[in-house]
Parts: sequence; C-alpha cells; structure tokens
Amino acid sequence: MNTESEHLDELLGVHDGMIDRILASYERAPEARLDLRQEVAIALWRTLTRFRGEASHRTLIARIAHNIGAEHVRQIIRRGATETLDPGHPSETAGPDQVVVRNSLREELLLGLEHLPLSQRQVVSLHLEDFSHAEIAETLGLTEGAVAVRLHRAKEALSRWMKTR
Amino acid sequence: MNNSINKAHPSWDELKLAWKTDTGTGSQALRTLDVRAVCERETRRLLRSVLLDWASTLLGFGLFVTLAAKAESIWGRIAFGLVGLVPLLHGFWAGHLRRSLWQASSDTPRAYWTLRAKRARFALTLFRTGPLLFTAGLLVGITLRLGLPEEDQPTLQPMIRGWIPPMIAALLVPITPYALWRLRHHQKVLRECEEVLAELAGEPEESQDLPTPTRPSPPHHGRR
Repeated sequence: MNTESEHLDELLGVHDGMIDRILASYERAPEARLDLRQEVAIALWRTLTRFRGEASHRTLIARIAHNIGAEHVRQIIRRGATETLDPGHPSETAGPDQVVVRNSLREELLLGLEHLPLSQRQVVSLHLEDFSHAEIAETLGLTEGAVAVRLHRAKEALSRWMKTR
Repeated sequence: MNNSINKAHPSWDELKLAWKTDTGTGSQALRTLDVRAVCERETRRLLRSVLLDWASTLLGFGLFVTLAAKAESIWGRIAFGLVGLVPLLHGFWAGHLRRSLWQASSDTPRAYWTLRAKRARFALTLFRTGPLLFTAGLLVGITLRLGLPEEDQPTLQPMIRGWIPPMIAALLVPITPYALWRLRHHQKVLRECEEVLAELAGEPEESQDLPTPTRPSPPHHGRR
C-alpha cells in the first residue's frame, strides 16, 4: 500500500501541471478543479493496480483527466448550472506584462476551447500538451488520420473564434 | 519570449506557451493526503456494494430454488428454477459491470462512455422487467400452485387468500416509485452517454475535406 501510495504521489507530482491544464479545458473555476483533481487521483489509484505498462503513464493520466472532465461537464449540464467565469475577470496571477498577456491569452484560449465540440477539444488540449499525433491517437482511441483532421478543423475553428473576439 | 504576443491573432506556438502558463497549484501533499483517505473509503464502499449484490442475488436465488425443490412436477421445478436464474444472472452481470466501471476511467473516452451506456441500458432493462418478472413469478407460481405437493395445499390456500397478496402489494408500493425514479435517472444517464458518444464521434473524418498534416501544422496566422 505504501509503495502504491508513493507511486501515486510521484505520478501526481510529475503530471500535476498537465492534469490541471486538461481539467481547465472543462472547468475554469480553480476551486472546482481541485475537486476534479482529487477525482483524477482516485481514478488513477484505481487503475494503477491493473496497469501493465501498455501505454505511458502520461497517456494514461491524460485519458483519465479527459474522462473525468467530460463527466463533470455532463453533470453540470444535468444540474442546469451553466454559470461561467466572466471572461473579463482579471487573472489571479500578478506579474510582469509578458506573464499578464500570456495569462490573458490563456483565458481566451480556454474560452475558445469551450466553444469547440468535445471531439476537437480533447485533441487540441493534448496537442497543446505536446502530445504527438500517435500519442493523441493512443490516448483517445482514434486513428492518426482522424487526429490530424480533427486538429486541423479545431485550429480553424479556434482561429475563427479568436478573430471575432 | 518577448512582449509582442499578438492577442488578436496568436500563433500556435504562442498559444502553447500561454497554455503552459498554468503549472498546477503545488499543494500536492495536502491533496494526496485527502486522496488516500478517499481511496480507502471508496474501497470500503465498493466492498459493501459487492457484498450487497451478492446477498440480494443469493436471497433471490435461494427463494426460488427452495420453491423449485418443493415442487413435485418437473414443470414446477423448471419454472421456479428459471425465475431463480434471473437474480443470479443479474448479480453476476451487475457485479461485472460495477467492477469494470470501477477501473474504466483509464479507458479511451469512447470505451469509457460505451461502458457507461451499457450499464445504464442494463439498469433500465432491470428496472423495467425485474419487478414485473419477480412479482409475476411469485404470483403465477404460488396462485397456480405449480406442482406443489397436495399436503401443502391446505396451508397454501389461506396464505393465498390471506397475507401473500398484501405482502406483495406492500413490497410493490415503495418499490414502484423507487423503480420509477431509478428508471428516469438511468434514462437520463443513457441519453447523456449517447450524446457524449455522438459528440466524441465528431464529424465524419472520412470526408477528408481538409489536408491531413501528420505533424503539428505551422502557425497559419499571427506574427512571430
């Protein structure tokens, strides 16, 4: 149990940023994201016992985060809660101009992602995490061709959306 | 990097940099501590659910097997035995689905949502047919006295006229609203799963109306 817990701690530590960023494409409120991260951790703990190394830990964790995120969105829809953060809300991170601009761009990007269909949103968030086409295909159970097409369409849709902002 | 990020037309590389601005909250130790406690609680909950599944399965199966054993005619035995198989099969299948879902979060999104849809369909079938089948089995079996030996019949008659029907009714009165509530819940879940699966399927890729780059395409807008 201790070794498993240590392994879990280690994996969560290494992939902390990726988990949060993927979850952010589904839920922008940081507090709600903490709960989702806990759910990701629990799901990871459940699956680690049967993990045989067929895929990388990164792929495994990305899958879990996407499944938990998509389920969260469905729950929100079911509850009828559609409140989203004010896009004009200032970023919590203060810092030099460059960081502020980047944070603001990130907020825009997250808003843009919310407008993409689920099939494209998942591909884009993994692409932003520097997953290769093959890794995205493995994570989402798609062919590389399908990944390429979805990514292309998503980029066009994002580009169109950002131009209208 | 520099400050010349073009917010109106950012390049893909700029978007990647912006995306990675968030590096996690860093309160790892605290969360892991919570996670361990929750994991242990979840394990206990799963164990309880599995035990409950098995208890109800064995109870249902045991009831009908006892009736089958009491029956004298072969048809009575077959009828009660077949009805007894229903809770047994339900127990096995429900347990299998519960265990599969327990670990399904690491499956591909399509597999995950397909499994959830399958579980919702199973629950729907169960709540639609289960109470009916169970009640019908009891009523038909007992009122028609399927092959029960003659010496049991005098005691059976007052039971049929007396406490068996109100007992079944008393069971059904709370079960029916519960079953209806669960039916509605699983219908909703199934609809959601089907919607997610449709969304995951996206537009048909086969049309290939767009070029299909095998590498991340270069930024097609924005200034570097």
